[in-house]
Amino acid sequence: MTDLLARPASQSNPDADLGDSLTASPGMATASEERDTLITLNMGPQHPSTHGVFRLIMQLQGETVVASTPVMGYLHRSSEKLGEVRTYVQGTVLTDRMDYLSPITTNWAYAMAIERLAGLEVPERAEFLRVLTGELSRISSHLVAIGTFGQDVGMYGTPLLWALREREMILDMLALVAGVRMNPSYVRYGGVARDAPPEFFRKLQEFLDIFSSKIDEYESVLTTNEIFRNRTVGIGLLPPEIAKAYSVTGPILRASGVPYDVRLAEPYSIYNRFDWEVPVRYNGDCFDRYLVRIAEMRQSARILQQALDGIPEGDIRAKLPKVLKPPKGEAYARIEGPKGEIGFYLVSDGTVNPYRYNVRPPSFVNLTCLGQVAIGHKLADAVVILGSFDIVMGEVDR
Amino acid sequence: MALGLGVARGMLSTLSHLAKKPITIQYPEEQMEMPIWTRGRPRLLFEVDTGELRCTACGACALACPVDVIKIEQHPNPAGKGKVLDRFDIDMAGCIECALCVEACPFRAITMAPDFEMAAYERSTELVFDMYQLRLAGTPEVDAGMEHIQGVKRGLKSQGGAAAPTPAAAKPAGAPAPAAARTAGPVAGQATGATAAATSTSATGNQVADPKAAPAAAVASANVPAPAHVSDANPAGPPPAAAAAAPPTDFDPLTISDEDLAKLPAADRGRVYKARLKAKGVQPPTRP
Amino acid sequence: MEWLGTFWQSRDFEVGLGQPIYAALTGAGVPGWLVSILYPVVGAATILGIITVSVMMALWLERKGLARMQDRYGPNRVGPFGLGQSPADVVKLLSKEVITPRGVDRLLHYLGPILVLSPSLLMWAVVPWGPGLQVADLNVAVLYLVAFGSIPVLGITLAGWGSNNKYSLLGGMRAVVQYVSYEVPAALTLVIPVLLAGTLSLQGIVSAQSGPFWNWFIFKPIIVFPVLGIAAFVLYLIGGLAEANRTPFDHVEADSELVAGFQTEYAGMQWALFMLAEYGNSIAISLLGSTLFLGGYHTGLGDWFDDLIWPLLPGVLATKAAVIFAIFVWIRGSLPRFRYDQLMGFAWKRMLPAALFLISVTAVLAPWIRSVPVAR
Repeated sequence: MTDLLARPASQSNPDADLGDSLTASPGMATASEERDTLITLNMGPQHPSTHGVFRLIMQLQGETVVASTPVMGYLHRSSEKLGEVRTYVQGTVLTDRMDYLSPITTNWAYAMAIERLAGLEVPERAEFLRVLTGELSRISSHLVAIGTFGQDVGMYGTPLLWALREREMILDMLALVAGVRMNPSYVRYGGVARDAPPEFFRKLQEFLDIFSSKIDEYESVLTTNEIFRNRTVGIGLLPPEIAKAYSVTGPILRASGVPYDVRLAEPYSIYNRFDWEVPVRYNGDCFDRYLVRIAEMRQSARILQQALDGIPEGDIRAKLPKVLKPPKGEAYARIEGPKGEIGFYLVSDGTVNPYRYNVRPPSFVNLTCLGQVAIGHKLADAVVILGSFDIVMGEVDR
Repeated sequence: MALGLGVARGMLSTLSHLAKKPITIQYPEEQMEMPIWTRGRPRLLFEVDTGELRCTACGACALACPVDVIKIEQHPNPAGKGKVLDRFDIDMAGCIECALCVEACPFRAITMAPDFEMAAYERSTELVFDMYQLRLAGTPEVDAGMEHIQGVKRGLKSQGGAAAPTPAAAKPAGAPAPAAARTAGPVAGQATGATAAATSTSATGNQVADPKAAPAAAVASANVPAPAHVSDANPAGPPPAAAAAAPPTDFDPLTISDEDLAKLPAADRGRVYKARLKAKGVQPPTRP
Repeated sequence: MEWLGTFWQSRDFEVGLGQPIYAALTGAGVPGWLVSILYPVVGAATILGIITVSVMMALWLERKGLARMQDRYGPNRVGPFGLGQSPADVVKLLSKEVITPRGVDRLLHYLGPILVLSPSLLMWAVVPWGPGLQVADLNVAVLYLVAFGSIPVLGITLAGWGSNNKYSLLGGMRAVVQYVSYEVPAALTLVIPVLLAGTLSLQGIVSAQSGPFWNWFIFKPIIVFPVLGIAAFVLYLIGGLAEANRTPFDHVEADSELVAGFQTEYAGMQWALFMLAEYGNSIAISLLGSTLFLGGYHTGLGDWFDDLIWPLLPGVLATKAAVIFAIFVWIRGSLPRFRYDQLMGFAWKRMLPAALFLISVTAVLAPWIRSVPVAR
């Protein structure tokens, strides 16, 4: 990539030797006669549909993608290194900023890793509050996912703004319980940061009462729309073998027919107390990923209703020392985030800071198979596939 | 299949929205309902009756801050034990409003207020707020919000003594508290009361003796919520001792004796303190 | 100069409003050739002003309508109901710098907006706003529409090619594909009103729809072949959406795929010309749709009523066009975008057979439909 800088300023066509640097990526055609029939299109890092500063280099035959390479790292903030020089509680605020569309779940994975490291018990009410806020976060993340997916398919903002309307209600609830709408830092080791006011439960019940009809509303403009189906059915096929080979998790994996959900496969917290199902679809195309997200929102609403009815009184935080110094050791915790399996690997050397602070970000892992899935589709479909993957660059690049 | 009923269904769905009221909050005119414990700019609490900051310059907040934007300078108190706070700056350009400072404070001296309108032309000067700009009256409502932000106490001596107004006092007084302008009344009042009921554990005895029953939630006022606000909302504000001997009505803030000063209502005392600071060359901020 | 006056007089001053104006001015001593020159100039300037104002109104309607479908307010800060937003935007665009990127082909880059804007302005010339109230009453107006409706694709393609940007190039290529596909069915649907009216002149087509509203071509064939008029109108709307590059056929700009397509490298007033052309085109299509299918400037309440309110007849046409444009806005708020190969399939496999079928039916039934006795 450095020869971009070496280009003489007097050169009239800035694209003249751009091809050489770009096609150095694996899978790209490099022979010049082959390349002459292809267009190398550099999508991103500033592009309306890349959901952040993500870059996708594609070689197009006409408008058909023949090779594509995802390029990541434009939003790298060295969160993992920062986590090693901060105390355990200060590390929470870094997790907020990874998946900023669903910060609670990342908080939760981090808190679970610390609890395993330090052997902390979580009070029951805190577990309920974690489930309540975590499922709300999952819903809000899926709302953004399907809204922006509609945008990628070419709707002029209608499903997105409808989805944001409900997301506002969720953010207002998070503001009640955590004090802010985004970056709540709510789930802490040993419990949650603060108790929920009665107002929160009242608003949550109001939300659950209307939410089902709102999902129907999104579906009325998307699911049954023939143009939407034409654009998504059969697009971006991801067979289960390839999905497993790439360690894809979350709704994308479940849309490929693999009923894998960490909440079910390795039950954590109190999910085994609730009556809910893991939605699975079997075609593995963009439409199925969308449908899995819609179904997951309905299931989350089910869990929320049960948790709301069953929440007990009690402590919200375990007995903690003033400064947490976990014993030497290592711990890995994983939970099911809205985008897939979020894993945290922490190594303690007995001090106030973790020795190693490592994240398994689902968006990043899911994104690695994008280059393969997009091949053979049109440019317009590549955008749709990227939208169906539901990435958050804050989490991809950390 | 093409262009069938699904398209028609979607179009009817969008058409039905033409009859619905928009949900946008028209921001400068309308304000969002924000609970009083909304995590906004960190604020330093002062006692309503004495006008003194609760901060003891212990530095716990600066240690807890993950982004290191709290700068504290202090010197040992020559008159007795403890420290004197010389400087308390928060660089709001870097503050991430995580409330870890509030959770760390053992003296209930710092909280977060729902003020977020801090647009400025100059990052290095206008966004650094000092201890005068960050002052906020520690009324019962504000205290209740602070307790909610603090969450669970972690074995620190966080329960305030007689000086700290009890959150329970906010319940009867919460209803006529229109001064909480930005924190839309119903949510703040109701939720504060609930939190107060839930979190007030110790100092219920102070409730009766505490004279500050009608708080002025000066959250919404400008940078320096002058104690004058308190006196406006609190005609019975002077402590019982001051009610016996009539306080002087006209006085020179620089020459007033300490006995007279003790008789003054809190608002006037605050004015005296500010005038003295000004005379000493410490310039209280006058930014609007 | 007398020959010029004779020329224009023979063309335009024979019917409608032109005649009394010409008579009054020449009677007042103004030389006939001067009137002959000034009349079309004033007419063209008026039309240009109307286009600009109506584009602003259309933008306002679109933004407001979309906003309300999405539970927003839309523009509401500048002026009452945000009506001042579009003029403010125009002033902003006029004052912006026109940026020409370094690598572009300057000639094509400058030529693009002009080639796109001029035909869509010219389309307005044949719109009949009232009896005789028309810049040019061509007797081949429908052919003229088809001819000028296909020129903007040239400008779009040149703009995309000359921008030296891959997104622009892809947008330009899509423009060719889309126009070639949609010209055919869209032009074929124009044949149906021509067959029903028996003339290519738009004034003639409007006159054939005078009287009560069931004389409109969307309703007139109902007795003979119920869906004919409505199906033809729907086909015209779909073709019009594609001609005007509007959702669900907005591949040429396709903001989620091609950033802004052919206009990615344009800024300031050059970009505003594209915008003006696009919306001028949409409104022209709405106006012509009302003219061809919805009775034009006729109120649909009978000729006596049209004669009674004759000064308001342009408003009647504008109202009908606004309804059609509102349908465009509604579609934009509701539908996603086709993929462009699906678009071609839709045009060639569905719209073309449907249009051909409707034409054959109309050709067979037209004498019958025309002979249906109607009230005036």
